[in-house]
Amino acid sequence: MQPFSLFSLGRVLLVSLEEDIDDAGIGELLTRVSSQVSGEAISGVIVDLHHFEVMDSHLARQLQALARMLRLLQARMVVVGLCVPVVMTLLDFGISLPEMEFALDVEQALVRLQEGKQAEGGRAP
Amino acid sequence: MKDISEVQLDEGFLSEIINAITSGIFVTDLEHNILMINKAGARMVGKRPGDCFDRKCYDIFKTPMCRTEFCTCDIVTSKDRANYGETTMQVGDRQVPIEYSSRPLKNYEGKIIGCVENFIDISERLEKDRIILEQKESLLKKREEDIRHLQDEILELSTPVIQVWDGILTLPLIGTLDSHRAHIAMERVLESIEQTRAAFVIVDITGVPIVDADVARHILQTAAAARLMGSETLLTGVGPHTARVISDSGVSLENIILKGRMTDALQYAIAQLEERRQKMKQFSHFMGALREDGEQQE
Repeated sequence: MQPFSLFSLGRVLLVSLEEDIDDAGIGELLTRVSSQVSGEAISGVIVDLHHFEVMDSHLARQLQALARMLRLLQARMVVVGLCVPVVMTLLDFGISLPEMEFALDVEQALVRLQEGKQAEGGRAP
Repeated sequence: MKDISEVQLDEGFLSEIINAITSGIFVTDLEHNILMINKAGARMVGKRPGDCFDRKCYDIFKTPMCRTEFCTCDIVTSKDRANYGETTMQVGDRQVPIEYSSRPLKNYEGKIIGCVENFIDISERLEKDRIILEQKESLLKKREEDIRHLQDEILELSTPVIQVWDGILTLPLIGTLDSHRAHIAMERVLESIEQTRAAFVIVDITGVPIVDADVARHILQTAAAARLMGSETLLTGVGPHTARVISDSGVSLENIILKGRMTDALQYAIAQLEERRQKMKQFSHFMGALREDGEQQE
């Protein structure tokens, strides 16, 4: 079984990760997400991590890599579903994940992506 | 009625008086032989006065000081002064605590010829002292427990997370904020965010008397944690002094939205929530349209 699932919601791509995802899985995820984002002109990617009860610094780095890649493809990344223990662990490790945004749930993430798009649209010449 | 001065003070009457005294009295010569002991003294060691005469005092009383340099008889006779103290004596297989006082005994020429010792059984007193000490200790323990309980209570009370609006939590901080309290506050904020799905957390520090770099860092960390959960943090109640301290400490408050008063923060948060709700409405229309499109395509 694939360690992640992709759902396309118009210009938004929803990515749900399973807890047992390994390096190979992450590699495949990066390939699939990047081709889909550039191919379908996706402006925002929502990464759902609610399956994760623990997170290590290695996975945090992989997420940063994903965020940087998406930025190069001009798509925003919103992470949803971090639980309290994961947040506490990340803080204890001093990991702040500055390159991505966070939302309470998928709904809020969609609103956030909408907000940003309008703001960007307003700024564009 | 006879006056006490009229009574003949002969030897028999003096020994009557001495035997009537309830504390133990005995006299030794320089060789530790007991020359005289009263009834109370003999009774305390479980003997009659007749059994003690001409015996060595160390055989009768058997204290840990006997036949050492601390022997009170030797001290008073060699130094010509009174000596007081507490010790225990061995009576059968029992240890009896006593308090004693000794004075040198002199003859008419002023020459020291022995030692007079007066002792009382203090086991009852010690027992009382012990009970009092025990009571004191248990009282102290109880008080300590009470204090600990109160501290926990204060910790509980002083970090309340209140939901003041749908999607808005407030954390009014009161009192000094150490790292322990800050940690508890942060955990509670995170748990409350998880439960209530609040999009905004308003941290009010009006009630924190001393805000230093550490406190600022704690608040910042709480904001960072809230951000990872997907909520935004607003900080209110920053006074002029606090502003100065935070700016001097160089702690950057980039993840925090600053508002002057709680009212401003609430208004801001409510406005934002309302805006998002409108967006959500538009968005669900859009999603509905999308779904219809999809169905038509099929």
